[in-house]
Amino acid sequence: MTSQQSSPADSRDPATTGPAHRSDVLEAALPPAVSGATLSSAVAAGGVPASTGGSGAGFPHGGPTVDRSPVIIARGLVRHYHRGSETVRALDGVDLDVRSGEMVAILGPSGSGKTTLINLLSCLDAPDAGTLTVAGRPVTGLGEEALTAVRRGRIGFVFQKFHLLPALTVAENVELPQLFLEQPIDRAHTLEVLRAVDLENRATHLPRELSGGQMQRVAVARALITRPAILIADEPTGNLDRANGEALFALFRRLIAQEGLAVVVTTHNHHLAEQADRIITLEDGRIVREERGCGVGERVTEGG
Amino acid sequence: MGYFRLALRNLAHRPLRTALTVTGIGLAVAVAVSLIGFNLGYRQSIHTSIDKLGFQVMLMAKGCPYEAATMMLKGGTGLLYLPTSTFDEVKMDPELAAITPIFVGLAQKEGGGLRDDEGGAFVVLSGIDQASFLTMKPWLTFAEGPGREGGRWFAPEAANEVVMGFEVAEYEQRKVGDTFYVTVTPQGQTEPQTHEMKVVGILDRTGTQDDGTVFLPLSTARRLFNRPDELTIVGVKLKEFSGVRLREFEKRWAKLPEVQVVSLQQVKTTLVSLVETAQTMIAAVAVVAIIVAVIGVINTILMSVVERTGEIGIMKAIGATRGDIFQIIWLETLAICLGGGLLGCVGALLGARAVEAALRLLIDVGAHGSIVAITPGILLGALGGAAALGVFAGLYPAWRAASLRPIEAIREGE
Repeated sequence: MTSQQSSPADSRDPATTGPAHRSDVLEAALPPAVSGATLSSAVAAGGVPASTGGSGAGFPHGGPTVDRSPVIIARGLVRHYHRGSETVRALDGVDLDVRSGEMVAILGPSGSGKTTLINLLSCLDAPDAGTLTVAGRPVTGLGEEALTAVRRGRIGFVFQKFHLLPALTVAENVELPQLFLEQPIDRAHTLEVLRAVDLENRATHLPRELSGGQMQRVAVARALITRPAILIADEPTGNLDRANGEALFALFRRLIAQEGLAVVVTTHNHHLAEQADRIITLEDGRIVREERGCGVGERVTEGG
Repeated sequence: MGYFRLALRNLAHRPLRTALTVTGIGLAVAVAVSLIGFNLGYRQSIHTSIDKLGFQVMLMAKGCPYEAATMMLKGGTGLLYLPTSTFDEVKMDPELAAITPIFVGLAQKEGGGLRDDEGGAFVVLSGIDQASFLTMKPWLTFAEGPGREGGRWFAPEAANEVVMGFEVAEYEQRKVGDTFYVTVTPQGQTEPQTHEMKVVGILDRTGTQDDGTVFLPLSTARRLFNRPDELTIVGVKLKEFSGVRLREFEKRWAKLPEVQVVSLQQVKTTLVSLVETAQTMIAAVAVVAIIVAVIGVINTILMSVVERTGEIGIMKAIGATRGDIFQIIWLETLAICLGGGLLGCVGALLGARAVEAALRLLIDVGAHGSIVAITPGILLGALGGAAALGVFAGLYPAWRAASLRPIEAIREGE
């Protein structure tokens, strides 16, 4: 099992130093919303944007601060399933930290525990053993409703199958998390977020009128509308062609650069995983390898 | 966008299924509203009809009280007769305020109209003593308007003059001065005889059985039917009407052979109980329809929940609590039931006349005027009932949906 070595800064109590909610930390520092042309162009080009700095151009939430403290701290995570008399050790002692402003890719064959791990990190499931802190909140032992409370507004989700509500328009799908959080819905803000994913002109369309790539970008916009600290993407390119998959990862890189978001993504695609800051490989519920991706050195600074 | 709008959008996304479910509830509500409206309207109609008979007690030949009741109100068939001597004896009763002899007969006619037990078309003829009859019913006046001007009562012994009730005149398309043929089979003969009568007046609408009756002098009616010494009904108004006085009156005259004394209160009770039997059966059908509709709603929403397991999972993943999901699904059920309730109310209002016609075909309601009274109170009650059904029907599907664990729901939805 491999775990990331913690720097002194990492050992700070995230409950007091970590961003409980990204907007809490970033709010004061974010510049006003600006045009999404830069990001849109980058996404349309299917490549990584040239600008990786923190100037904040392109996304309506504004630019990032450089708070690299861990937003996810996992220690000794264990998750077992019982299938009849058989016990499946889906996760068997995983340590992992994920920081703001970094992308962690999780690789591994089917059944290696990728989805189990990501379910735990995203508070959709609870570990049988080990400790987990997400966005500054200890979540070990919490029940379903308490886990929901941790997720709400702090974690954005992108899934392989998009999971847009077919009855709602693109804009309404994007606004859905705000509805549940009882946040005021500002259509102008929604359009800005959609502009950032180059879908402003599709706001009133229904999901069935979109391509797969477009639907996944709507899912990204939905994940970002509440300005979460963490973006969890489970096989987000699984239903996309190569160009759209690369465009999506470019979008992730852009969000990290501009928003200081922490992104955890599972994928089977080594090429795409290379774009992450760190690549974790799982086998049989354990981390067997940790590598640095192409983003290393540019964005991750140990100890924040 | 609030939860209710979200619920409506979800329903609108499956228009056929939603429409069918709403229609199911709508039909059940329409049946229930019509039934309650019929119950109310019928009672009002019976009360109006009987109160406007003008007399409190009637004497008639012994027989089935149901038949007697409907005969009195509508004419009916299988008429039985009293001897005139009964009238002569009863009119000497010291407690009488007024008394009137009536001879009811049925005339055959061509074309449509009321039909007797053999299916023949007929019209109700009522031979009356004009003076005493009007003492009982002082509100009878002649209709005005084109074709009805100059209406008057027939001369007491006129052999060929009739006064028509409002509805029968409209149905037969007769004006004052027109000819009206009545075909009757006199007692003792087998061949019907046709008589040419002249319409001398058309009565204003009363909302009672009088609207469907053709009036003619008592003596003429008895002559046409060759029953010179018989009556059908003797209408009586007592000086003081009470249970005690009625029983005393009944005791005095029940001794006469072949005579039964029927109070209007008895008639009301008889008619209402007659119809209540039919209503109980219809109510049972309505209850079954509502149960089936509610099961249909629960089934539809459960199917929807199963189909949308993935959606529900994703909603929970992105922040929806159990309460949020419960509300959304519950509101969907409520919206279906309220929609069905509205549809049912509109359907019942529009279909009230059709329902009434069907009821009149199915049972001898024995009342004139509208017998379906759908009031705002009934409609509000129906909507409230539909909402209550929605609240009840939505509980289980909403609970099922709210209980889904997001991780499993998303997996099942894929």
